[in-house]
Amino acid sequence: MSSSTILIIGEHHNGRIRTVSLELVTAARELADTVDGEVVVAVAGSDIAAIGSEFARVEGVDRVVIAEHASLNPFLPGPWTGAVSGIVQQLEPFVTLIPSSITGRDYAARVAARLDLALVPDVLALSIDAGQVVAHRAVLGGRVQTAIRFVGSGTAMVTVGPGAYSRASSGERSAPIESVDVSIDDSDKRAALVDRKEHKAAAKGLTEADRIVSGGRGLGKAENFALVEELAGVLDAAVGASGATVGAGWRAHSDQVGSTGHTVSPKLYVALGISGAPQHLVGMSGSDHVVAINRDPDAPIFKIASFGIVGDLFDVVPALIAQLKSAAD
Amino acid sequence: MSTAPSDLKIAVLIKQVPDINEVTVDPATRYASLGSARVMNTYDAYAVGEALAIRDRFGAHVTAITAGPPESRNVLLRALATGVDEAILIDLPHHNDVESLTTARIIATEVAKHEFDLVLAGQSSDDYESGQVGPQIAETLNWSHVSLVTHVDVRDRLLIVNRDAEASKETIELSPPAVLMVLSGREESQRFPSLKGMIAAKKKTIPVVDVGEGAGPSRLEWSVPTAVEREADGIIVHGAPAEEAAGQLIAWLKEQKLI
Repeated sequence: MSSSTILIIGEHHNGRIRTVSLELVTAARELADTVDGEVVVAVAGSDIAAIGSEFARVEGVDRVVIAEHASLNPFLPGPWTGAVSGIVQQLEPFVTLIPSSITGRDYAARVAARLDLALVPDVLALSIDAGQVVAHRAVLGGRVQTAIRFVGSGTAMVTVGPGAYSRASSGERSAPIESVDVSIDDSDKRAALVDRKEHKAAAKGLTEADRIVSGGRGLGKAENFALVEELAGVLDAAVGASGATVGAGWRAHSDQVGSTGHTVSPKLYVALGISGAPQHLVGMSGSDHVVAINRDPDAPIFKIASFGIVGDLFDVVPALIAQLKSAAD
Repeated sequence: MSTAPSDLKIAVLIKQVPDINEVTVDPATRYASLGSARVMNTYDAYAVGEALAIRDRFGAHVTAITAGPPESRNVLLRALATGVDEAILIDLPHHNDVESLTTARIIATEVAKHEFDLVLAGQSSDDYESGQVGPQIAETLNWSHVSLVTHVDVRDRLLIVNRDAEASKETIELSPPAVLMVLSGREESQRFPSLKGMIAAKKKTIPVVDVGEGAGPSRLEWSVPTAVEREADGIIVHGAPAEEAAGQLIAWLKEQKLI
């Protein structure tokens, strides 16, 4: 049965399952149903029994394995590479799904190198054709899509981006839970985390927000993000930022939407002063509705906008805020 | 530049990438092809800047390395003109047809030959954005790596690295050797080629490393890339006064049941 195991490395943070893990369950279930296999969620970390039980309640999960190790918290890529490599070696899965998060990307590449596996990152969809796994992903800043077929032996390892699949729901059920032993070599523990400062809680909701208002270089300077925040406040939206503004130091990286930042797929995405560089579009083009306000009529963002306003955002946005506020009164 | 024995030996990895703003699409087949323009990968330019900032503050010898076709020499010339001390071209003509892991192993072999203390690379490439090669070089050499690096300090040969993670800012301490993947270009560490630097760069010899059959077959088969359909066919309001444009947007948001 091991050859048709679809393995997910479940992601959790501060004692909570991260949404992307639930999306991976949906992806894994589809594959498992195609090959008559089983969906196994592996949870790695320290003090994770409760997380394991929570995963066992998720519909579509056949089995949960827990790999407990004190060195796995806080996250560092070395110990996680050791743990995840151990899990993959023990379960010998047909496919291994890792969240394409900042932490997932950090260890997936090393695990692939350690176990000599081919890895396809940031996958948008998975299918099975003639018994081989085919991973679909976007390249060149999201402008181009390609299908990549695993033709070698060994587990097909992929990282899957947030928003690619719908979330699996939880029910009154409990899949079997078992423990696996993982050992972590001292050579994987050489880097030490000496300080960690959490960003403001508000920024964490970006990948799960239904509405996002993002700002770009068109805002001119960091202080003008106040306008983005005000509109976000009126719309009850999360605040995002383009890579250019993060590179310039106007916003924290945790706010960044696009390649090397977050991939988001809200119902409403409002882009203020964002031209729509490919690196940004790749992170938000999955949004249901895109509103763009920009001075440049040729800005690429207008090509994907459901509603665009060519104009000065410093005129349009205050007018928009005023009208939204008066409509709410 | 003279190098004191205590100085760090730094390799900075650079990829020459197509200008991703120049993708053209065949309207009949939707097949995508690239323009001829080739540039230094965005994040790799930040890595060059960070390497030179480390050299200025703590003393270091900086070698730029690229793996790619012969024309990749141009990004090495640019790095030399920006101030790196030397450059190496690893001859890998079909570098986009090989697996990231293969590329990583080829570069790791070269890194091991020169006993570098530190490898700096950009967080990911503009074209394929896999971000795999850096961590996989570290894994191949059994080194540590840190991603999303924003600042590097060196104290008594201990590296103090700041990184910008998803929900936190972190400080990580580690001893060389290590691979650091650079995320941002701080203003004080951004470097641009000077005319004098460009003239000097052209006089330098760039050794070419032959990897022979080192690439081997890939375990991944790519389909012909096609353009992503990107015609939202949206409503565009152009030239309306701000109040009117805002009003139309609100009406549309209501219609779509978004407010």
